[in-house]
Amino acid sequence: MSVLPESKVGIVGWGSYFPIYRLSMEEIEKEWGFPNGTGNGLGMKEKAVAYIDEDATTMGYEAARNAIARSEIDPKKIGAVFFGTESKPYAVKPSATILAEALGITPDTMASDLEFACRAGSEGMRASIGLVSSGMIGYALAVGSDTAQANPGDILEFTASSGASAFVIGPSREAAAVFEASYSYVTDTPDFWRRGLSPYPLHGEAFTGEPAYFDHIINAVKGLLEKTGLRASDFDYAVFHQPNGKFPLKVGERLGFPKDKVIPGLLTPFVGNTYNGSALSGLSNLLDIAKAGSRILLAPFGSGAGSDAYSIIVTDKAEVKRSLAPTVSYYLKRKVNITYSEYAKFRRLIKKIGGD
Amino acid sequence: MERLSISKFWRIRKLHYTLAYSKCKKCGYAFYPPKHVCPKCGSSDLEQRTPPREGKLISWTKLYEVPFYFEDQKPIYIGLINLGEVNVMAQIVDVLSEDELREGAEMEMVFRRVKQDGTAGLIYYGMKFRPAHRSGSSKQGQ
Repeated sequence: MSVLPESKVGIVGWGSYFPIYRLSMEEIEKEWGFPNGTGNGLGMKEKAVAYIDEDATTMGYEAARNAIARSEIDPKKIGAVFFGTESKPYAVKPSATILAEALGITPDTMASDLEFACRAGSEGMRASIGLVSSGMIGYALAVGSDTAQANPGDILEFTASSGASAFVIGPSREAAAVFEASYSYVTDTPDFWRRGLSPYPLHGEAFTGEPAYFDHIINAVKGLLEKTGLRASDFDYAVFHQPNGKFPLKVGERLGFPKDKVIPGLLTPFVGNTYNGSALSGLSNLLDIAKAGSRILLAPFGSGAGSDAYSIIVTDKAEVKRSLAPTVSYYLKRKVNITYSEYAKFRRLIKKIGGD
Repeated sequence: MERLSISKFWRIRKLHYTLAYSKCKKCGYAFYPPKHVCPKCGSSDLEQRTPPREGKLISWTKLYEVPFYFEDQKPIYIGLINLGEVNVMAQIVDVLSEDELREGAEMEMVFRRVKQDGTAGLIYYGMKFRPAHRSGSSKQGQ
């Protein structure tokens, strides 16, 4: 394999955030008259719910703060902030500038919000690799964060949840994990969308599976393997986009990754599908636990549709950096269950006169 | 809908985002929120400092009567928190049990929505606190 620009760059800091509230599958089943076990059938146990005063920006901040703590760099050295979300608090006004200001990165920086359903944060990561490897900037911050919406009573409500992950991308000599190669695969496939003023997304039911999720991830991963000459058996872990608890295991099986390589990065059963935080949080969890030398396949997916595949190798710096911020497992353990009515209030499904 | 002042918030956004405070270079008095003149000695020779992100709870109370922008969150917890040289009063969120609110309990800053101007106006972000229960968290300020 020739030397790719990716190899100059790595993850120098990583961090995640999940809110403390959890909604059980039974609460949704009871509320909307689904048969008992519908949520478990999707591979789900419970989902994380953001509080009233939380949104994609506040969660993105928390994840980014953890990533910067692990990077051990002065935030002023960050030259780009990419905020990937599909639940922007503002339709027009960047959240990336709020993050950059609150994290002490402004004003000498690029900053923008990216949108590509669940894949925007990953696009931010790949753009960061390009900017850092070219020498244009020293470090970049790529964030994926969502308070995912679902039409109440829709099957999507079982999984759509809240959470965020963030990565400081920098020179490979400082990295906890280095990039080996990356590959993107994008087509115009309308499997899931939300129109301008619509509060909830719609989806093409079964159409979200084969022509969208499976086709794009499989082609992105195959593209990466062809580019690098690597085989599935060369990887110790595989993290795919996690719209439910089952798809990642299925796509892994089709690509030749056994369950035991997929399960360590599979968080959806415990927190739900955090959209832009989904596959990236799986990676974050692996950086919390993987041994130096482990090779990780990362393949996020976004509806509309596209997938990126990355090969990432963990270095000996990961272990030292782990204790510098709370781990994914910390956030998974710190939780409290809520009722459907609390969930409805927290996520503003209840509309009041004079309310906001 | 209340029209919040955009310029008033924007001018002091760094205070909202970091809880920066003033310290008098003449008499050494530290105070939050920052002012142009030291309230103790009248000196205008002040420096702005950033407090640590973690502090200790001094005292707290629970409010059932709240300003309208906290209406959906009531009852709310308000705490007095020591951040080294200064004490600040702020909302405490993510309280799983009131047992977490004992005197001396470790608190950490969290970035949250504080107010929003109706459904179409600006969202104002700032720092609140939550109980901190872990080792190895970031101690550094910015």
